[in-house]
Amino acid sequence: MSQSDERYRPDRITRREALARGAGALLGGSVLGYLALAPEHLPFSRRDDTGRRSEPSERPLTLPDYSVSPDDSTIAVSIGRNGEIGTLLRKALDGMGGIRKFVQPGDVVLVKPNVAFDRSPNLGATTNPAIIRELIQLLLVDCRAAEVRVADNPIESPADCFAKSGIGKAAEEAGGRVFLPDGNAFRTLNTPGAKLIENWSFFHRPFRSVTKVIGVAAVKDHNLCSASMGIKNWYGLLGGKRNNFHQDIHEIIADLSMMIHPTLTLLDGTHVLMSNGPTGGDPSLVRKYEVIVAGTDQVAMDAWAYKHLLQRGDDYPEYLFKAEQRGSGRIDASGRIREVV
Amino acid sequence: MATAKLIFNHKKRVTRRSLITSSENFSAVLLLVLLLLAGSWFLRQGNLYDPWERDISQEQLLQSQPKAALYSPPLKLWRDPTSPSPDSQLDIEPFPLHILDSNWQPRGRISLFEPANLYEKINGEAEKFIRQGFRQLHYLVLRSASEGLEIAIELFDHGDIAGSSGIFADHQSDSSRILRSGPVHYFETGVGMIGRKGRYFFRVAADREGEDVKEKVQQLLEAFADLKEDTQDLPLEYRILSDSLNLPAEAISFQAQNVFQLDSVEDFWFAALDPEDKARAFLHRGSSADASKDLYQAILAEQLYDYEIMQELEDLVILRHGFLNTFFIMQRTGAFILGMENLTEEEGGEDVMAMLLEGIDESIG
Repeated sequence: MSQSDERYRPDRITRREALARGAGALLGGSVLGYLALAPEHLPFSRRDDTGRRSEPSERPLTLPDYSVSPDDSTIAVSIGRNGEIGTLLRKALDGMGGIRKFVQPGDVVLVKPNVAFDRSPNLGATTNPAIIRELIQLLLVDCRAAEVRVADNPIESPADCFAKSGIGKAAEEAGGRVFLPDGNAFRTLNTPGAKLIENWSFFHRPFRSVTKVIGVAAVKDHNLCSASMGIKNWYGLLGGKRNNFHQDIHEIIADLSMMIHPTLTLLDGTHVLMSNGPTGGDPSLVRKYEVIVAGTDQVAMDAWAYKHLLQRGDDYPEYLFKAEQRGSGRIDASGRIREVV
Repeated sequence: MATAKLIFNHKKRVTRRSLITSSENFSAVLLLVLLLLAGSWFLRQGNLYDPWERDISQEQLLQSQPKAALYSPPLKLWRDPTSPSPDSQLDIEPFPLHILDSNWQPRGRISLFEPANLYEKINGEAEKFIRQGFRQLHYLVLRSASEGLEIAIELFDHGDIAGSSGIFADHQSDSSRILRSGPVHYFETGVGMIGRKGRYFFRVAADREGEDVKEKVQQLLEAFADLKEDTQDLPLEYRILSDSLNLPAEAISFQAQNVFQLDSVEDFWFAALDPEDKARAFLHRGSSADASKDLYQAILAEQLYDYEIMQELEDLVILRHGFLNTFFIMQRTGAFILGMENLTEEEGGEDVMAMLLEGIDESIG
């Protein structure tokens, strides 16, 4: 036998093996073909005509509980009356045990005012900027907070709203940092138990590394839900097509009461838009009180403001009852309210 | 012998078959010829396409083809609307150009909102406007160069006087003092004004009060009188109330929904007979006499929860409120429902009702 013949090794595959390999190749090819080419709705199909399948998926975030148990936990609502804005604010906070019970040195505090509209402050559609100024100074000087952020997501141009309402200027002059929303500032927030916003776009960027959250809401008439106060203020943190929620506004406000557990809520009773809300337009519809409300039970605070600031009696809006049913607070504040005159 | 068991040889591409039948050769040649014929036919077709040879008629194809714009006018040159050129050829339609002067210039462009995106401007309040036939909102902010003051102007187009007067009525409070300047009806707000002209409703609000604001508001008032409007007939109900009762336009308003606080009652016109008095005449025209008859019965049934019947004829009823002791008169004639509410005396409405009936008779000839 020659040398080349010795190197020659004939293929020893048998008919049975050949058939088995052929069948295996056919089966493998069919499976791969199915995965690649079968329409998207069929089981196990990996086809991706729209590109949606390969989109990066985002894991919804959850917000921590920012609330702090005050020393005197029986008091849920404190009303500061009579005086200038700074005095009213201190009185209201003192009724809750003082701001330093809630904010400690080094805290990063987010303040959420109502900057919903491109309106000047005298029309009562937005939070009084003087309260924001006083509050930020209190947080930075008295509490030695590391940083105070001010954020809202108005549906109109955010820059115009912060400028026209005077809140942008007040915040920056007092040493706060204003966060304006943009397309990348939102993430999906998971709110367990919420009916409409269980997983919904949320203005998250200003919340990064925040340790305390304070809502500072305007008190005003609202065309759809009767009144916009402390709970409704959180609506300004939602993104996406949130206007659709106006079809079921009481449900969404009840959801908002579960979405966030703030450290404190303040209600601006210095400029109350009594009718034609939420935008107003006539200063004669704005009633001025010397009142600021502070508290930890948003449901009780809203009920008090509805009755005493908007003067609507006991016929509370439906969302307060829904929020109460979901355990977000209690409408009846008797025995849990303190007035500092 | 080991090679005898192999199907393929070791090169795997050479058939071990020595004989190929003539039928196989023939069919292979036949397929090749058919393939060549098909290919040559396909190539010969080229761009030849005659719609007549297809099953869709030429007319159908012409009907379904998109309209081609053979000429597009050149784009207008862009210019910065905030540039302080007083002479300017700024396009601020529908606002009259003379709202601008050397001191007051627009801050940014005019924003336009329609029913689909009105919530982007007045979220939470959009529904109130849409209910009153809202069509468009033009939003403009004027800035004073000398004071740095801003005045925001919202001009809502409600399509007709019914919508504009309805939303105007919604904005009035007990303290609103309605004024008139030519065709414009308005009330002052301290930082501006709220008013209407024809189909337009407007809100003007400055940052703060002041003499310069008042001066500018007056100028805007005159400018709004020049708002361009298509000539349109006033609604029949409006004319009947206005002519029969000899009332000025500011006394007449329209309510699209929730009339008498009843969800199902819509499209009523009201006339305030005296600014100091809450008594109002009302008028509604239904689609037919039967529809109005049904509505009349429905209103009566609902009102009986609060009122008691003082007098009832076939198509006329006089009611008295159980607690307020005010009187409510309602009458139906043909497709019209007319009446009065908040009367303090039972007989107080007889003259007005007679005038309205006369006006209806005249209007329907």
